[in-house]
Amino acid sequence: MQARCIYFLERLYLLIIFGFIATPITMIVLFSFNKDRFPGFPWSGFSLRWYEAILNEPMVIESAINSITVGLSTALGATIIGFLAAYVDYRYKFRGKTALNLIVAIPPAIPPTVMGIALLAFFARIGLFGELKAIAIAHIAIASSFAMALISLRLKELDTSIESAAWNLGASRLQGIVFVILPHCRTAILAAFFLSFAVSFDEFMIAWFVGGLNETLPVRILNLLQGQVSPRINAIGTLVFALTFSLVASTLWLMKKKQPTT
Amino acid sequence: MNAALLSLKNISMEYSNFIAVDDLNLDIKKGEFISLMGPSGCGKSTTLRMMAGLDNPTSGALYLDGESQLEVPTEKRGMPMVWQNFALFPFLNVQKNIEFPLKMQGVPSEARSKKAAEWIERMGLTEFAKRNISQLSGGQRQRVALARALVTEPRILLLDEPLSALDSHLRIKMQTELVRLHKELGITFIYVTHSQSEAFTMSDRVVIMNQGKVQQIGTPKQIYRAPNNAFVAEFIGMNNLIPGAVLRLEDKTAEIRTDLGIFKARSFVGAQKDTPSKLVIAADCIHLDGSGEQKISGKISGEEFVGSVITLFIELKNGQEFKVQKQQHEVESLNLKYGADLTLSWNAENAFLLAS
Repeated sequence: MQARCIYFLERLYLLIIFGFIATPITMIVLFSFNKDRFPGFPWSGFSLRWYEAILNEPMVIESAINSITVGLSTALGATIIGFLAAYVDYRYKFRGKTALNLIVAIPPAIPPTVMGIALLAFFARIGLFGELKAIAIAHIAIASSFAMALISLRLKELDTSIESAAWNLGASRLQGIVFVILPHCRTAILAAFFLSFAVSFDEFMIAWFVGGLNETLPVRILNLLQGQVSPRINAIGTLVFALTFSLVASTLWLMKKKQPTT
Repeated sequence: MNAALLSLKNISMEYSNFIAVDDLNLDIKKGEFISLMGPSGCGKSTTLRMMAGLDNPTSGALYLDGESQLEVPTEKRGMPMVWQNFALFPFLNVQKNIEFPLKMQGVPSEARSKKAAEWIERMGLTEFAKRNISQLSGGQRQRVALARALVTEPRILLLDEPLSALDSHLRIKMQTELVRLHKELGITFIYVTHSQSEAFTMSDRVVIMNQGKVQQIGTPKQIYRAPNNAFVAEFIGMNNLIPGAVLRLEDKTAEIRTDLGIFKARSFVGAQKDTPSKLVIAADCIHLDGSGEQKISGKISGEEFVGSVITLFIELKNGQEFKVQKQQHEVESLNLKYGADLTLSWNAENAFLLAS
């Protein structure tokens, strides 16, 4: 009796936590399909009108394309840098290695406002301010450390003797990376790519500071909100959420996938 | 130049806080099966890695057929290694693993699979060719590792404790297979192990190492019957050592004074009066029936029974332990009891002195 009671309470507790996290998102998704202009219950009926509305808004489309461009560039850049950093960390021992690992971990820990202002000053000085490139570079700085963490995790499962064995069997350093390290890390690399994309796609503050007239989707949402509270925002939010959620879910799925390690 | 295939000249490997290999000289002949043996940390694996080019010595030279090798990168040395943990590529199947070195050499795909197929058949892996490494047993992995190393037909095969990951039954079986492979291929096997039985069973010559230095090089029999120094005598197990000082020197024999008495034994080169040395008596040269001329007494403190041979542990009156190895039926007929007093004896010709 008591055990069942505890079991029940545990489930209830979990449910409350999930509810707490998921309710706001659920509300956005629900109201994005609501016919009525103002959020409220009861629902006045199912409609796709807000989705149609955003598709007819050039600035939203443009910002979405910007977000995807920046996201893909970030994913590519961060994955390459993250992989190289993880490989250096895996293969070499050198003075200052701990310091290097610490430096890589810093960008995500800096408050975005501080990072945004700092990058604004920096990009203005080197003449990159207001360009999509600037946003992508800033996002790469943050996402690289996540990419490195994911790939490092996978590399740790590879006994260092396996790459040495490849060299011993006639592989050059480059062939060792191409034929041993990359095949071993392929899912982690894909996961790092998705996660970096998601980090960039969601990021608002830095994009707002350094983007100038080039708006990414989160920046567009804020600008819309400042003008008026429209259910179109719910529609955009739902789409952004759907994309980010599937990216993160793919990352988790890839990292959990069983792979031969022996 | 002698006929050495691989020559190590004054090779040293120094780290900031210790010396892994200390001024090592070794000539390895073409086609021989040579083992490097010693306790862990003696530098045997480091020596092997330096031959393969995976580590670079801090000083010294390495010659293959008279050609200096230290400038040659690992991938060009052509001395494949069989690793302790096999180091197979987990994301490739058996056949792809075996093809890997050929692929690195740029052999076209068709020739690659043909060559790999030969080795797959030779190693009895036909039904496993398309399997993943994780689906193989330890013995099968060992065969894949061997095939992968031998597929390029190297002149030298390096083996780093290749049997230590297998269970004892399989280890014996693989020993036979290795000896057979060595005979059939006629190439040089350089084998690192801490196991005396593996080294002695398979090798033409054994190199005993300790603390980065070569202690003795010789055939298994030479090392077993005539250890060079006290370390070797103790390391190879079934020897009893009593420390003492040289008392009297004659032509080839000497007398040593120990705290268990004065004993006669064969002397060593360069022995001097009063030099500290050790008296060595092999465990299987000791009699229990008092028939030897040199005598010592003690109590039975234990026994180790491994089939036909039995090892008795005898506690001497100074607390030292003596090992006696006998046939089981011989011991049984003596009807010995734990704690019983016993006279051990041996003949002076079976005892020898070593510098300590």
